[in-house]
Amino acid sequence: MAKLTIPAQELMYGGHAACPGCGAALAMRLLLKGLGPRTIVSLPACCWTVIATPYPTTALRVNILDNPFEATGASISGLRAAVDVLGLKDVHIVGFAGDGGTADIGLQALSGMLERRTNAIYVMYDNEAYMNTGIQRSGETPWGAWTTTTPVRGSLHGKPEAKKDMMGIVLAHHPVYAATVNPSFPEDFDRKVERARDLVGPRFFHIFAPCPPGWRFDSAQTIALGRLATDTGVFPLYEVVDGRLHITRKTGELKPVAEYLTAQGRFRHLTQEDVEQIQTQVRTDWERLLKREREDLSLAH
Amino acid sequence: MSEALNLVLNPEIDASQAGPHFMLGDHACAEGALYAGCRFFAGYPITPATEIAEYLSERLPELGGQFIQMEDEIASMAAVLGASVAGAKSMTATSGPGFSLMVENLGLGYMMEVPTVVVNVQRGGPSTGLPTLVGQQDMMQARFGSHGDTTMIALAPQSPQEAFELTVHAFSIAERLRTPVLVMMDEVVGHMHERVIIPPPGQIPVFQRRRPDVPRAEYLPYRPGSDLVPPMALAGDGFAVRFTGLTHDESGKAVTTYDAQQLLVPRLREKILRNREAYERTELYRTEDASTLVVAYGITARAARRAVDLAREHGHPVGLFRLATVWPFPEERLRSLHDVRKIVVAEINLGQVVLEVERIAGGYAQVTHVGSAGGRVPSAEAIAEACESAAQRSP
Amino acid sequence: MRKEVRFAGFGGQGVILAAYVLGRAVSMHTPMHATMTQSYGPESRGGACEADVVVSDHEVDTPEVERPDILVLFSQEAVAKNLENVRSASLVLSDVDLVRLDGEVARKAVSLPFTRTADALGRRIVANMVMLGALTRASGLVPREAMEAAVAESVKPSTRELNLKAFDAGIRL
Repeated sequence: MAKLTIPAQELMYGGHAACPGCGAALAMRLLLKGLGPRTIVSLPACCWTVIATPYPTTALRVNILDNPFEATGASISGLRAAVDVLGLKDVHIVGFAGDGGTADIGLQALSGMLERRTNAIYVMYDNEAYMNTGIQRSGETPWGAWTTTTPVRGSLHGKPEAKKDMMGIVLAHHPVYAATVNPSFPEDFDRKVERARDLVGPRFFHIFAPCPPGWRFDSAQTIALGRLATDTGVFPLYEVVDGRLHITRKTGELKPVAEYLTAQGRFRHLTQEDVEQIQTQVRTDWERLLKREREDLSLAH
Repeated sequence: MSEALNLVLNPEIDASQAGPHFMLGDHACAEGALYAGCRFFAGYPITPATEIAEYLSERLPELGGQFIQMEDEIASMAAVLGASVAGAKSMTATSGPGFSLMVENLGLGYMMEVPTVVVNVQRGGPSTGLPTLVGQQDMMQARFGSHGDTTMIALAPQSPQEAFELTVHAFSIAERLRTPVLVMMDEVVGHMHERVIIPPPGQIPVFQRRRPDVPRAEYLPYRPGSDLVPPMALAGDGFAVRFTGLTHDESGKAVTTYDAQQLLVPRLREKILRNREAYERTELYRTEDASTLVVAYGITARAARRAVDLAREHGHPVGLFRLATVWPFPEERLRSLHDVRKIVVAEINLGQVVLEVERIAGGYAQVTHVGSAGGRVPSAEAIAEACESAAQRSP
Repeated sequence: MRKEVRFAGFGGQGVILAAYVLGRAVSMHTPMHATMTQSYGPESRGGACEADVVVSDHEVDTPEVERPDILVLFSQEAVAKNLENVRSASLVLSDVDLVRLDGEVARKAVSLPFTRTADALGRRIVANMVMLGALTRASGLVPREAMEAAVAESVKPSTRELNLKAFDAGIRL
């Protein structure tokens, strides 16, 4: 029998206001399991500001600081500075922001924090749109997806632009650690969190966070959809430590991306050619990732 | 004129929406923009203004216009200034936190004299505050939010129908006076459905941008006409222009001296104050014999109207002075109500427009305030009660 | 005349569409006035959902509904949230299979099988239209023709017939 490796401690409780099947709720739960109770979380405007403390309850057993939409990277820079001055050695500083708050409005503060080598963990939970305001496209919304500001009607065919490569942008800042994680693979998730926890310097997580109302799928299918995202190559799992990339889940042949797309209403309008185009892109990106892994490995030797 | 430029200046007329609708206030505001010929919107999601962006993301492409979802509100405001400078009527919409991010660029718009419309669907603040509940707490931020001495224009609709009409009006004012105009909506008006009648194209006059009528060699982009408004050349017109946020002379060249500043900034103020007929809109209700007056705007004016009836049922001669234009405050119109000795200002804040009313009424009328820190419209009963106790108070 | 109507239930039950149809019927197909508002707050994330309509023969002064005259209940939670209103409303309509009312309230409430009737028509999603039919008959607030026109205008053409059939079934409940 496999040994359970995920810490039993719960720092996120019921009494939260997440929708059923929320990937972002799982993301927080797993992250805090790995980091432990000596953690301070800074939240910009996002679903999680609403999820965390619906009156009269609070869902987190760690301290929370809200910050403006554009300021997560800056907010955790201040937190870290003060914690250092106070001589607190065992406190983890976490910025926990959505994709809009990271890739769009918060990009400047994130870049500043990474460039200054701020000793903190920045998390982008990626539900691929502004979900808290009701499903508007973000820089992380994938090509072709329907949102309320990328309508499907007449000549309008979902989002015409591609998803922004946030891992690429972050890696260009040379953080000590960066990884993609997916709540559908909790052991991989927890192992990466524990690894990042014990490093010093700027660390970044890109968390895959399925959103049943925003992506239009059955809330009972979150875990299954998350597994499909990784096993089709749409959301590959890897980590980059000191610049060396290592893919943490490989299953041989990728599953067809159509399996992932057809499970969601936001892609319902895509044509066969659209799906083939996405398939080609996903395969190219995957090959590129494999190539980078090989190169990094050969450089290491 | 190139075909593309002609299209920007004279967008295709859209008659498809003429007629009655049961429509959301935010959508009515968006339709008002389209009616006025707005063909460019840049914005960023924020409750309770998101519905304006969502609606235009579908409608603008249908009309050959452009919708861009920006990376934040700083970018949104910058984009609409850019679009307007190039010649397109443009608009953005937001709420408190986003408005805070816009004000630096808004000041640039005042300084460079760029016509555009900015909608703020007000919610309770400060900070994230009450995203889904009403406020009228950004009125002073609208007035003084930009650094430097600015004089600006703000309108406040009381219904979805008026959200449509005042947005059309806002575009005309912006073009007529070459300045950004604010539409200070509120969450209740933005988020309520009501009957909205959209008139056929042309029924509401729409002011078109005044362009230079001098030879290209003689054009000075900041030489004002007799109304203190300089005609505005567009990209593609063939004129040489330079738009700068630095203090500048009539040629648009930066001249950062005391003298240049005294010529420019007071003109920007006088341009607004001397052309009140272009934007001043108020409504009087039962004021003929009123010695007590309620001053209100936006959704609060509707409760105030009912309050007037309630107070009159109790025998108090109360009237309503409703502001559709809040800034600059229509002070001569208020002063012209000679019999008024008591004024009650009802607004959803802890005291903002009331400060201006106190200044104007100083010496001739007592001023009191009915309001809250946001989240709910003051009840008609509470406003009526304030009127009655004001009426009974000795002068 | 000013009548306040509240529709309360869960997201996905068509509560907001029902309010929209009533408001539209009044605004577009009668000389009366209507204002519709809906709950947007964080509570809507938990699933609870409310929409209010004010119907008036004058222009509606304030759209806020404090004490609904007509209360439509689609969930037990909606009852808990509207305890005072259940007592004070002059007409309470509830789904007999989703809502349990006790005592005096139970005697005055019109409890009908909206969802069950919709199920019999093959689509649970039209329970809101069944309810609107019943509301039209029980309240006498808006002429049937105005409601039917608004139903037809507010749904996709492909489901128009089904929705009108559901509305009709509600009238006959």
